[in-house]
Amino acid sequence: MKLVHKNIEKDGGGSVVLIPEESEDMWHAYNLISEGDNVRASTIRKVQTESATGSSTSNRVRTVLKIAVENIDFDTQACVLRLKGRNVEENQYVKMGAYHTLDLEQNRKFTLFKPEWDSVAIERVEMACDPTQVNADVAAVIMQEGLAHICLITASMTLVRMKIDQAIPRKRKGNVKQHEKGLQRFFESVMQGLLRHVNFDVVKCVLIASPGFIRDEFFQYMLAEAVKADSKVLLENKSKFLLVHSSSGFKHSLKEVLMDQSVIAKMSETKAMGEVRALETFYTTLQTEPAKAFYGLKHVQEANRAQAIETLLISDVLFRCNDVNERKLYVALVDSVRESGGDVKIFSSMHVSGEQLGQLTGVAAILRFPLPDLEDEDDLSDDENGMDTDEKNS
Amino acid sequence: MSRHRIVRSMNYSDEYDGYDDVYGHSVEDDYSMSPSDAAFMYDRDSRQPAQFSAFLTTEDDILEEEEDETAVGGSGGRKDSFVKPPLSDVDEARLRSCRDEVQSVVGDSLPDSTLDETILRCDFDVARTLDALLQSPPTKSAVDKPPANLETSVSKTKSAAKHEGKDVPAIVTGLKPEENSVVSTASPSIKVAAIQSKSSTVVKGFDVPTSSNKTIGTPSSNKADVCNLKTGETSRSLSQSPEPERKPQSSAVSDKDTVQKTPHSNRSLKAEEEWKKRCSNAKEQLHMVTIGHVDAGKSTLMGHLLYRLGHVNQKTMHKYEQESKKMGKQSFVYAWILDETGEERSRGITMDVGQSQIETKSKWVTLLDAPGHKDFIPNMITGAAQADVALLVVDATRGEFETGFESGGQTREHALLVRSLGVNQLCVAVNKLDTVSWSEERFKEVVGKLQSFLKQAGFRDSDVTYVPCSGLTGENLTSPPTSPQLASWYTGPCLLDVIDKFKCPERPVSKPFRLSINDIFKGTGSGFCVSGRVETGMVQQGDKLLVQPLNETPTSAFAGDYVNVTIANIDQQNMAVGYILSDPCQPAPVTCKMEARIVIFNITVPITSGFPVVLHQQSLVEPAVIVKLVAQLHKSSGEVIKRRPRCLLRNTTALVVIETSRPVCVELYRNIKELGRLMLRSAGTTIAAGLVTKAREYHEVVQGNEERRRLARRSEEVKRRRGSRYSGRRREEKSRKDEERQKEGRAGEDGRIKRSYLLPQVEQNGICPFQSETLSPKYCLSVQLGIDLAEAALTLLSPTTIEMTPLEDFMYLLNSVLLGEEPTVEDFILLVGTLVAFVAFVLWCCFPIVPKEANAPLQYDTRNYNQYKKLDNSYEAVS
Repeated sequence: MKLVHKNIEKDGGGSVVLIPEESEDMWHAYNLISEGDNVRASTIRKVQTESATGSSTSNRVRTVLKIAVENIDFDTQACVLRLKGRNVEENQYVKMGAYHTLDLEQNRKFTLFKPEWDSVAIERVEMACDPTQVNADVAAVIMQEGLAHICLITASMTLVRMKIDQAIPRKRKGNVKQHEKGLQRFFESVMQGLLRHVNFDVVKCVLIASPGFIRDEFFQYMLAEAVKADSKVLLENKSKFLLVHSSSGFKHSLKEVLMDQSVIAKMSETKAMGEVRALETFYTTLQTEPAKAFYGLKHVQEANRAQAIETLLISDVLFRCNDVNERKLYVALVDSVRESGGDVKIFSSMHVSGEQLGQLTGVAAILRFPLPDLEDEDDLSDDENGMDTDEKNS
Repeated sequence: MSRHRIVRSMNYSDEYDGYDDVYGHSVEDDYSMSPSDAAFMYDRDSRQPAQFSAFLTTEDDILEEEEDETAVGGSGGRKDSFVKPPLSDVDEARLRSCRDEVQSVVGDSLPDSTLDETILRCDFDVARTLDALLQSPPTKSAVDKPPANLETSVSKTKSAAKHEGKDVPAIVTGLKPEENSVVSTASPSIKVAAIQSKSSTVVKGFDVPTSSNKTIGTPSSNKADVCNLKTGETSRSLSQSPEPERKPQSSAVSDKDTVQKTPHSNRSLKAEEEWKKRCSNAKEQLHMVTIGHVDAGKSTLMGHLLYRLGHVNQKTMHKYEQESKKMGKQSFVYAWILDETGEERSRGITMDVGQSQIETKSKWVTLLDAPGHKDFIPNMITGAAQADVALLVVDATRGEFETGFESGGQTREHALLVRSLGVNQLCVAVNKLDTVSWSEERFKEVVGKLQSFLKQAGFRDSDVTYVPCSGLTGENLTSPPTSPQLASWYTGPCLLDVIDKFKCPERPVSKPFRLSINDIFKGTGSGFCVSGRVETGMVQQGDKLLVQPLNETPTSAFAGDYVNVTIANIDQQNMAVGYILSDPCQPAPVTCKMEARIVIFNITVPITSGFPVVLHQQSLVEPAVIVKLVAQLHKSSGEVIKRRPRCLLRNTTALVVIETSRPVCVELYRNIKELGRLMLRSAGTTIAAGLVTKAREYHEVVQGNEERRRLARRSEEVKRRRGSRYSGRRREEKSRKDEERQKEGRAGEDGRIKRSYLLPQVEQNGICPFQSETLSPKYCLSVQLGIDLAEAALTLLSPTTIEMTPLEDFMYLLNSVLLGEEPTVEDFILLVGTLVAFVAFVLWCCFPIVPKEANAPLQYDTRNYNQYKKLDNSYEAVS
C-alpha cells in the first residue's frame, strides 16, 4: 500500500489517501474501513438518461463518488473489498443519498475519511505502508492420505486455495491395485492444484507437510511427472520445496508446520510465525503458571488495571466490530497496555492462530507477575451450560 | 485411567507404603481402575459399577441380566422363601419408592415379597424390574395372546432360514469374492445375521412369546431406551415419553398387535432369529487387533501365524522370501503377507490396517494388523475400533522394550487407546525373546513392568495373558515351545490357545442398524462397495439404507460382521469414509455440536475453549473445535468441581462442547456405545477420550429426515403410478402460482384479478387432474378452487403435509391401506383433510361463487388477454 496523503486533525478526524498495490492491501483496507466512515474512490456507475423525446439510454460512466459506508463485504478468496453506502457528495451523475456500491480496485487511489483516527487505525496504515516488510509469500500443501489443503500464506492472511478430499480405497487382501491407483489419482489432483494455484514467480517457498511418508511419495511422484511432462516450472523451482512433518492434513496443522525448526530456518521471520509462537507461549504459560495467563475481556481488563500485562494477544476481529463504543473499548485496552510498557500483538483472523484466538474470546494476555485472585473470580458464568442454552434457542 | 500417567514421575516406594504386598494385593484385582475411569471404559462384562450409573441413567449390565433370567425362572419355586436382607435406611426408602412405582404398573397381582426380591436384584431399577416381572412365565396375559404371532415369526424364521441356506454355501464353498461381489475377502464366513452372541440370551426372548416388545430388547445396556424408541416408531407418535417406568406398560399394551406388522420390529425379530441360528451352527466371530510400538514385530507375528495355520501357500511364501532377500530385508518376509503395498514393503513398516482371518478350535478370528508408527495412529484407531480383543506385542530385546514403553513409545498410547475404545481383554505377546536367549528373568522383568501399567490403564489382571514367543522363528505360536531353553521354564499356553480362550462379547443385534463406513472401493459388479463393521443391528440383501449425514437412500445388500456392501443409487463421489449407513426408519442423529464427557490424558498444552482438535469416532476423522468448557468434574465421583473452567490441565475429567464444521453422525453413549465414543487428538498425540452425552440435532438435516421417513414408508408402487415428472411439474407450478399470487396481491384488491390467475391455471393445466376439453371452464375452476381449499384445510390441519398436495396424500393413503400398511394418526389427518376438501369442492360445484360486480367488464393483464378471451366469454355467460 502506498500512502499518498495524510491529513489528520488534532481532534482525531481527517482523511488519508491510499493506493492498494496488491491483494493483501485489500485486507488492510478491510480492517481500516469501518461502518460510518466516508470513502471516496473512482468507480463505474450505470447512468440512465432520458432524452427530450422520452426515450431513455443507459451508459456506464466512470466517476468519483464519496459514500458513507453502511456495509462492508470482503471476499477472502478473490481479495475484493466491496463497500455499500449512500452518496454524500454532489455529483454530475449520481444524486445525493443514492445508494452505490464501491469496489476498491488495485492501483487506484481511494480516500478514507474517519471521524476519529484511533491509534490502532493509524498503526494499521503504517503497517500496511511499511516498505521494509518483506513480502514473503509461502505456499503450503498440508496433506494426508485422501485429503490435501493448498494454502497461500502471506504476512497477514492464510488463504486456502484448494481443498482436495478424495476417498482412497484401503489396502485389502490381494487387491492393492485399487489403493495404489487411488493414491496416484490423488497425487495427480494435488499436483494440478499446486500448478494452478501457486505462482512460482511470487512464491519464495513451498512447504509440503504430511504425517508419515505421504509427502515424500508425493514429492517423488511430482518430480517424476515433471520430468515426464517436461514441466519447466516444477523442475526449475525444485529447490523451493521443503518437506515438513505435520500430524494431520487438516488446516490447523499449519500451526505445527510453522513451528517446525527447518521452516523457521528457511524462512525469515514472518508475522504468521510470530503469531503462532505468541499463542504457543500463552498456552505453555497457562499450563505451567495458570495465574500468569488469562483470556476473556473481563479478566484481561482486570489484569490491565493492575498493570500486569506483559504481552497482549488480540484478534483484529474485535476492531472490525460495528459498535463504535466496543471498538473504543478495545483501542483503549491496547493503548493502556502500551502505556504500561506491555507488548501488543494484533493477530490476523485470517491465520490459523488468529482463528484459534478468535475462538478463545479474541483477547488473551500473558502477565508479568501472577494474579492468583483473578483466577478464582468466576466471571464467565453469565451464560450457563452452553449446550443447554443453545438447545433452548433452537 | 489417566492417573497412571503420573506414574512416571511418582516415587513407587512412597506410593506402595501402606500395602503389605505390592503386586499380590487382592483388593486391587476388583478395583483395578478408578471408578470414574471405568465410565470411560467400555467394559462389556464387568459388574455394574455403582459410580457408573451415576452419570448414565440406564446403564444395566449384560451379565446381570442373564442372572436375572435364571433367577426369575427359579423364582417360582422359592418365591415364598425370599427373606429380605437387612437394608440401610436409604436403600429401604429406595426399595419402597420402587415398589410403589412397580405396583402402579402391575397392580396387586404379585405379592410384595416377589416385588422386593426382583427390585433388589435389579438394583432398584424400575424399568428393569418391570421387565423381569412381566417376562416371568406364569403371567395371565400370556393366555389371551393369539398364537398367530408365533406362527408368523416362525414362518419368518423359515423364510430367513431359507435365505441363509441359500447364501451360506455360496460363501463357504465359493470363497471367491469376485463371484459374489459383496462377500468380504477378509471374512469368508459371513452369515446373513449380523452379530452373534451367546445363544442362551436369545432363547430367552423366544421362550416367552407373551411380551412381544421384550423380545425385541436384548439384554443390552439400555433396554428401556430401545423399547421406547421402538414404541415411538411403531405408533409414530412424535413425542417420546421420557419416563422410563412407563415404557414397559405402554409397550406391553400397544405393541401387542402392532409389533408384528411394522417392518422394523419384524426386522429385529428376524435379526434375533437368524442370529440365534447362526450361533447354533457356526463358530463364534472374534476380531483381534495387534498393537504395539513400531518394529515390535506385529506384522511378522501375524504373518507367521497365518503361515503356520496354512493360510498362505508355499509358493507365495517362497516368492516373498526371494523378493525380500533381493531387497535385503529378509527378516520382513512374514510381514509381507500383511504389508502388501509397495511403500509398506520398501520401508518395512505397516501403514494401514491389514486384515486376514484364521480359524481356531472354537472361533473364527479376524486379525487386524494395526500400524505401530506414531504417524499412523489414526489408521490404528479405525482398526482398533472394530476389535473385540487386542494383542499387545512388545519387543523383549534389551533397550527396545524400554524405548517402546517409555514416554515416546507407542506401547502406552496404544494400550490406552484400545482400552478407551472398549477392548478389555488383552494378550501380551513378549516377542523376540529369542534375542535374549529365552531368558526367564527378562520375561519376568517385562511382564512386571507391563503388569503395573496395564492395571492402571484399566485392564484386569485376569483379562491379561502374557505369552513369550518369537515371531520370526515361530516359537510358541501355534504349538507348545520346542526350544529347550524356553520349555524349561514356560509351561503356559501357546499364542493360538490364548486367542482361542478369549471370550466373545455380546452383540447388540436388536438395535437399529448402524455401519460406519471404513472403506470405499469399486466392486466387481455394478455400483461400488463400501465396507465397515456392523456396529449394531443387521442388514440383508435388498435392504433400504440411509447414508448419513448425507441423507440419501440407496438400496443395498448383504451382511456379516465386517461386511462389504454394494450400494446402488448413489454416487461414489458423494461418499466419504466415516459416513454412517443406517436404518431409514431409525436414522442416527446428525449433529454439528455435541457435549461430551472427556478424560484428558497427559498433555503438554492445556485445553481451553477454541482448542482445535481432530475428532476420531469409529472410522470418522474430522477436524473439530472445543468451543466450550462446561464444567470440570471430579475424577471419581463425577461431581462438578468448577463450572466453566478457564482451562483444563492434564489428567482431569471435564464436560465440554465440541463443534465440527461439517455435520457428523454421533449417537449418545447411552444409546449406542460403539458410536458414542470419541477420541480427541491434537498435534499427533491423543489428548483425550470421551463419551457423547448430548448431541444437538442438525436442523436442516433433521427436517430432511422427517421427509425421508415419509418417503421410506411410501411404497414403490405409489411412486411409479404418480410418476416423478408429474410431481415435479406440480411443484413447479405451485411455486409459480405463489409468485403470481404475490404479484396479484400487490396489483389489486378485488376478486376479478384473482380470477385472472385462476383461469390460466386451468387453461395451461397439466396440473388439475380433472381438466379436460369436454368439461366447462366453470367445472375446471371449481375443481381448482376445491383443491386450493383442500390445501388450505390441510395446511391448517397438519403443518407437515404442506409439501404434498391433497391428491397425492389421498392416493398415498389409499395405497398404503391397500397394500396393508397400518394407517396412522397422520394418515387420519390426511383423510379428514381430504374429506373436508371434497366437501368444499362439492359445495362449490353446487353453489358457484360469483363475484358481485360480475357485470363490470373483466380486467385482465394485457399480456395474457388473448389467452383468456375464449374462457372469458364462457365465464361471462355463466355469470
